[in-house]
Amino acid sequence: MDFAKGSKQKPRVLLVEDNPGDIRLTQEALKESEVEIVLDVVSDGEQALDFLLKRNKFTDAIRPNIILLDLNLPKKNGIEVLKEVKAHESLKKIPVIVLTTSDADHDISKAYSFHANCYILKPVDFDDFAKVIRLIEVFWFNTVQLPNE
Amino acid sequence: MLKAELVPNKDFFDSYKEAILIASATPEVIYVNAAFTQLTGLMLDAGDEKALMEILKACETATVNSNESHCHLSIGEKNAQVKPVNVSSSPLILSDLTKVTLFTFTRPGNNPASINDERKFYELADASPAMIFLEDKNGQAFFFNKAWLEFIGDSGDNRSDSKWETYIHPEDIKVTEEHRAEDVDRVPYSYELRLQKFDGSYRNIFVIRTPVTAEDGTFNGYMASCLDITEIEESQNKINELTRELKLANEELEQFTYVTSHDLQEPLRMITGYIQLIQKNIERGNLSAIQEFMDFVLSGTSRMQMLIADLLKLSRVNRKGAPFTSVDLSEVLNVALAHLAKKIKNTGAEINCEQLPVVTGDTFQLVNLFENILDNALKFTPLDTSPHIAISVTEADGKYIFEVKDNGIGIDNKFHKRIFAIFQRLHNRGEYEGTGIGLAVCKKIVERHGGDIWVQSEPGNGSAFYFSIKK
Repeated sequence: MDFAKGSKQKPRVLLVEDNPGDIRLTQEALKESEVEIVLDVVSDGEQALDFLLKRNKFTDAIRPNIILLDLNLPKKNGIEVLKEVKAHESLKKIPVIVLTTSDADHDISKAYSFHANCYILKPVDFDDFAKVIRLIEVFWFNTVQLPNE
Repeated sequence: MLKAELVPNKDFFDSYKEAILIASATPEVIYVNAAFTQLTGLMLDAGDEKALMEILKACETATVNSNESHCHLSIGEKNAQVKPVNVSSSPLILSDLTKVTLFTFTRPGNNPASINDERKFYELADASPAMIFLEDKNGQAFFFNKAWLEFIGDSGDNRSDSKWETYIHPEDIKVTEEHRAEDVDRVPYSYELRLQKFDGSYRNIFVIRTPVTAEDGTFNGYMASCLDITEIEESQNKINELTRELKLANEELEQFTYVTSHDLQEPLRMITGYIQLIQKNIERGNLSAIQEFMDFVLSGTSRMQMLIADLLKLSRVNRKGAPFTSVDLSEVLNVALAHLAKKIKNTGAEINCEQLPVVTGDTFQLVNLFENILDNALKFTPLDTSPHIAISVTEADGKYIFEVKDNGIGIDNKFHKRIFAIFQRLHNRGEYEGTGIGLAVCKKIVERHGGDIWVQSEPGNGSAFYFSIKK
């Protein structure tokens, strides 16, 4: 799948984040980017799986190209979501970018052992945060090749 | 007439390398060993009484002034050869308590091995804190040391006819027999069993069994050394328990620090991020979103305040706990209800309560406990429903068990444990406000009062919170 400039395909990102402040910050950071990204947001682990599996109120959900996953989530935490996604025959192909404030070794190690595609610490500074979001875009949408489905 | 069978440790004397003669006070020779017969050609009950008597007299004369001396001994009547030997005497008590004399002969030049060594062994054995006994090659115990006699409460000096098996705990007889079967291997081994002490108590005993060999290397029985390890095991168990508690406390602390720093960082990050965003937007002259961003900053600061206040509450449970007094829980409940009066009025809640008992505890914390649980019951109610809360109490196992039942939204089974951990929220902040610390505080309070806290609930069917407090 190609998201280069001029392509008609708009990359889709699923943000799994319970903090409204972080959701808004991510939206602001995406505004500053060059690529137009469609952002879907769910605010707990169960909703994330419902969205990805098109269950319950998410029957019309569209499969994202990448997932931005916070670890500290209500109901089902990020690791549990990661575990289920990576155990799913089709969903496991979607790159999962863990985006969290936890720099604990056991979280990092656990995330990778459940096949997180990368692990990024949320910067405290907004400019740094915007930079991280831009790097994610550049890398995952302009650099790598993603699977079609 | 005294019988040779009364000689203690006869097995040992029989196979002893040096010549031995035992005489009664009469005087009369009552025992000679094989080495004696080999040396002198004389045997008991074989018509040699006269010759034996002569040797005995010589021995008595030789040792009259000191118990070790030198005498000439005629060896065998046939060749009438005379050889010098050293003779030493020592008192011996037969198992019928008759006093007799033990004479030991050593050839000059021979290493005067070791009837003395043997006696030293008995002295050492008596000085040992371990219980020691010796068995002959047939498995018959013939010597018990002082520590053993003290253990079984034998005030006399009855060293030989104690059936030590009678002290084994009935449940350990089988395992002992299984181990004793290893005796045939003639190698040292050890095992544990319980033995009954004179006061009737059973002690945990560690037994080391070592085969004993005669001078010529042949198997001569077993020596058993028994250590009372009851206290060692008890203190080891205590240490293990404390270590486990310490480990748990450390893990809890680590978890606490991690969760706390994570949860405190989040509002701080919001504040920083949005202030920078505001600054950026002001620079660009874009003021439309300023108010919205400002709200995020403010909610960040108030959230931070709330977290810090809750953390203080949690740390106070252990740090600032008041000494326990007699507490009337009916009064405790009234105070808690007064604190929640506004919420009760606003939600139109109906609260019913049974007569509550008086317990021993910390009044302030118990108010806090009831307040937190009732606050949850008031908070987690479906929209357009008035909370109905019923408080009741039962007794079991020396504890009061309290039930706080509501008609709220209920909690899925899989969260029943997690809700009592610090900062665990099941709901988005938008749905139900809170830091996720209330139930963690409750858990700490209940644990300090020697009880437990748990929940029974399913989504849509209300929740019943239970906690126990020692009577």
